[in-house]
Amino acid sequence: MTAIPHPLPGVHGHDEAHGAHAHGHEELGFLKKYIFSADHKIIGIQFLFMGLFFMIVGGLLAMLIRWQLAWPDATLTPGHPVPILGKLMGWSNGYMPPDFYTMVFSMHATIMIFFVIIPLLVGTFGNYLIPLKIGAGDMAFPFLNGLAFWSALPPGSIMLTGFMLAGGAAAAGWTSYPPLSALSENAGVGAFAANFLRIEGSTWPTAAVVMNFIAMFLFCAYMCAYYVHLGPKVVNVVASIILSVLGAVVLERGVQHVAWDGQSCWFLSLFWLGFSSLMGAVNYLTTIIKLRCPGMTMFRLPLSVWSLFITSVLVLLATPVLASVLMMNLLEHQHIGASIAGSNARFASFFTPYNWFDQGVGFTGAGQNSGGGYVLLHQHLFWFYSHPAVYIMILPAMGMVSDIMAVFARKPIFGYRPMVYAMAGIAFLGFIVWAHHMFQSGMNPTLGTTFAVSTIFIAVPSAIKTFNWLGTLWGGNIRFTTAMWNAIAFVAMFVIGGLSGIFMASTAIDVHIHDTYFIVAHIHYVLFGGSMFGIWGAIYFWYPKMFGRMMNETLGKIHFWLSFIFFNGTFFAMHILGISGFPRRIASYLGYETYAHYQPMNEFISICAFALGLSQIFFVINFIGSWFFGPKAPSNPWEATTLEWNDTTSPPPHGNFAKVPVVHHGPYEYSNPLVEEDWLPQTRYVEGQENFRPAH
Amino acid sequence: MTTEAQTRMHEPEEPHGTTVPAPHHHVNYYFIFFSLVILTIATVLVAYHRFENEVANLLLALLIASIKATLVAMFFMHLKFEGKLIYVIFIIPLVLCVLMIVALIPDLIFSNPDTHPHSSSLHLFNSLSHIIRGAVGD
Amino acid sequence: MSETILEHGYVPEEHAPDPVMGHGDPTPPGKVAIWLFLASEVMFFIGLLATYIIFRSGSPKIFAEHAQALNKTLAGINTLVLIFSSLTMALAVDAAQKGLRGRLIACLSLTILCACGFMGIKFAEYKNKLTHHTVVTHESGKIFVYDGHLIDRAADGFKVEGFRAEMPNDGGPFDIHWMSAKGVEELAKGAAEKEWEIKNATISQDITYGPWKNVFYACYFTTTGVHGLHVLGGIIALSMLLAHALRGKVLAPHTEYIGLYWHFVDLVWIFLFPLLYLI
Repeated sequence: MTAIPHPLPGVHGHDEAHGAHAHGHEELGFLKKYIFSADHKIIGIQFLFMGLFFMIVGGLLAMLIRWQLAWPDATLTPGHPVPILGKLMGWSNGYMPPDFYTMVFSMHATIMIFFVIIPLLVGTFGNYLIPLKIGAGDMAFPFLNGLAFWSALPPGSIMLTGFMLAGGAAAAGWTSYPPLSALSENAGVGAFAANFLRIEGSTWPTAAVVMNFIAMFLFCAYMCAYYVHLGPKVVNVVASIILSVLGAVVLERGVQHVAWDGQSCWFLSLFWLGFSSLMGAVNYLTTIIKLRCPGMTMFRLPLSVWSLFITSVLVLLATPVLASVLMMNLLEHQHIGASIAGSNARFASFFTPYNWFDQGVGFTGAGQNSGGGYVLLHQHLFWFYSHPAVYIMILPAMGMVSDIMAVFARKPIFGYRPMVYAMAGIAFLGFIVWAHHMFQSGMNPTLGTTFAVSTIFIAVPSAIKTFNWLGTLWGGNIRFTTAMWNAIAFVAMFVIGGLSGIFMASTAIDVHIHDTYFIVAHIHYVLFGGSMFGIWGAIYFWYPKMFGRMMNETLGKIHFWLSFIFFNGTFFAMHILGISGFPRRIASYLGYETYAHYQPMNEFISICAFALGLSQIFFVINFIGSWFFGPKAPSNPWEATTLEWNDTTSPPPHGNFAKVPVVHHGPYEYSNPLVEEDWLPQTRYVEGQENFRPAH
Repeated sequence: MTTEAQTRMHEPEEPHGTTVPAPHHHVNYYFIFFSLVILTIATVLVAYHRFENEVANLLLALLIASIKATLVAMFFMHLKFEGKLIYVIFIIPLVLCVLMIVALIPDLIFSNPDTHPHSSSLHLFNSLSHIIRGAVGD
Repeated sequence: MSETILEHGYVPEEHAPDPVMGHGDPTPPGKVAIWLFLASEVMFFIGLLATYIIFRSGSPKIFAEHAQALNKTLAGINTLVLIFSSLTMALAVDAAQKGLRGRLIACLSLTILCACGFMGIKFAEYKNKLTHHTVVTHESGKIFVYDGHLIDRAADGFKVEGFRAEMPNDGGPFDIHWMSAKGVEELAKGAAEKEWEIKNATISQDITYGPWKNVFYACYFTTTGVHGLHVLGGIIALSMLLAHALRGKVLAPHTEYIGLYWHFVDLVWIFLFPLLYLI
């Protein structure tokens, strides 16, 4: 490649302007290089590990759900006590009590949505791919970027704290509708001895205190690592540790005041997590708007970057609404001492009706609230966030699948601009469809019709995307790698999930299928079949770039096919259950004659689910094994065109690119007749290329 | 090769808000400040001497607040001198705000239209409700 | 790393991205980011605004009656204080861009002073509400309702200054949460405001004017509380700027960004003031 003089001043003046800091790269110690790093690649990988850790937690919870649904009753389905946990918890006959089941499915959904899918898609790939694909050295605000990760840890530990509290974790479903979520969880009031980490009357056991202390210490230590400059290194380190401990103690004590039972932990955790998302979103948007390398116009961005751009807009504008509603939930959940209010009442009442008592606390008439709240307000505000959140959880997968498909079909993506417009359309429509989650909530039926119409509109951009993916595959020279299989599975599963969505969008049919397993099937086809296959595809695809090693294709394909088969075995059958009216969120259905005969089908689903869980062992082996024993990855193993494959090494060095890349055309120049190879890197200029394909 | 490459560099870039802001904006901040003070006093006076029509009170207070907000945004926040990009960032949440409030209105007015007949906001919503019902042909 | 983000500019050097600032648009990344942040802040307050609208249209009488209990004069003064701080902030930004350190220090100090003044007045308002009691007592066979401010507290009871009325016995619903000073005054039928001594033993219900009083105060305390937290954040950011200015550093871009934030805080108050106090 020819070195091209840059038209804008200052590009090569980097060294003169900051000559004094030219050696900054070598000065970075281990801690700032790999732990408290501000490098977007390290932060992306940190998010990846966090997401995978929580995926194990959420996955095990899913196994518990399925165990309970297959064999719910000690007398009617005897001989199937919950393995290990049944003994550990000392349940009667080893069968799960209903309130525990309620907690399990609530936390499964919460963890999978907020701590697995969003960190994996937005956190991991948003961080890792954006600067590499737009030709930037790093994010616009690297410190903020790291802060986004480290401030996602305390919410994680607060969420897990719920499990350790006496009353158990949140059990009001992942939507946490009040008044159910406004109830205190009985045993949450059991107090432990106070010390410097525990406030008077704290409900947190030692394990929770220690875990949260570590998370909060790391959160503070990250900030100290960049902002404490008192003198020589030793002084800074000592001062940082002291400050971090102090900060962690203050945070820990403060958090215990408001997060004292499972549900309040849930509210506080997600409220805090919102800040992490916001920091990320601001950073991604600014980076994409301002730091694109020369020649990288908006319509030369790879679709993965476009999808992350649009997703960030959704995060930016939807998350604050969730924050406001969670704040109100949290305040409503608090009790005030007699010394402040003159009576032991609720702190405030936003969503609960007049004279509503919280029996759980055991106050005699004093847990009363002032009333006047409006339950549907919570649902409106919650879904104003959570519907866009559904697209936050699928759009990045769509973008990355588009990239993977173009690479392995050896064809330009079919209809690049329509793909972008379709994503923007989905994002906009995502903001005006939220009440379709509330058709049966008792809201005004006029709204139902309006929202049904706007919801069905979403089929249009979704169909555009699906047909474009098919168009990309059509006539392609397809290479069936693991990543490609996952990408194809994404499209297939997304179509099934999308089609079942149309049923729900219709108000009349929703009366029948509302709160049945049809909903469960739909959400899992979109979020597991869609997002998770997208995530796996992306991990298989970018693993060589992230870790510099190739993953094992055979193991990968075994993992894919087992997952794909058992995924469909698990969730397709749920459609049938749902159409027959089988209710979700119910611990034991055997008491109802209508549902009791679905036990064999539930057993089949559960066995598939366990197999699906076990298939992930192949992924774990592959992921860890390849890291140590995989063959070294070349810089462009997939023969792709985008910047991260062509202009840097695997893994890329600190600062990403040796020199500023200059882009000459769109990201999907595969099988271009002007060059001998069947891929034309974005940074490689060929004569006559602009006349050949003006669309990009 | 270099020459062609150089010519390639001159291709038009798409604009992301190409208005170039002047480094020093000549805004008379004192004038804006006094306008804001006068408007604040006006809104308090209106509140003390209420009109008969509650809807008029409500709309007047919101109108004055909007004017004040516009003054702050345009001149103190230099929105007047910003490019397209900043305007887009600023306007999208306002659009969403309108959408959300519009979507909430049916839940407010259709659910119990005959409670609290003397409420100012409900008067407004009730009249809106009649208009909407007329249009829909309820 | 030898320099922090605040000292240096947008990012620490070793992470300094390619200095290609967008394509043809001179808006610096910091400004884009702060506007994005403000957009998300708008959405946050929209959530609270939606709450306000729902509650107001659901409980218009409570809102009308209890808004009267708020102190319009103090809030009006607070509005002026905040608007004045916006003026000084705009002047501070102007001074920073022109490199006038003395003026910058003066303007920033004035802004911080105003912000503290705002919080002081806010504190007085809150204190006033939290010492305002509504009490229901059983005294020698009669039921009374008191509404007034706490003036003295003793071991066996407390003194309030306000109104007392005998509880109406018309069979209608009575709820202490809905009771306002005005309501008790009407029940007292022209009796003057005076000091009342209330014994703890006689109290059957007692509530202060906190967020727990009713939906109006829930709304009032949440919105003004969140706004107050934003003011506190602003004070911290402004103090950091001032510290830099005192040490001889004029940070023009940062002054502008923090200025934008500060004007936004002002802008929110411009809407909160009429919504909560006036209409």
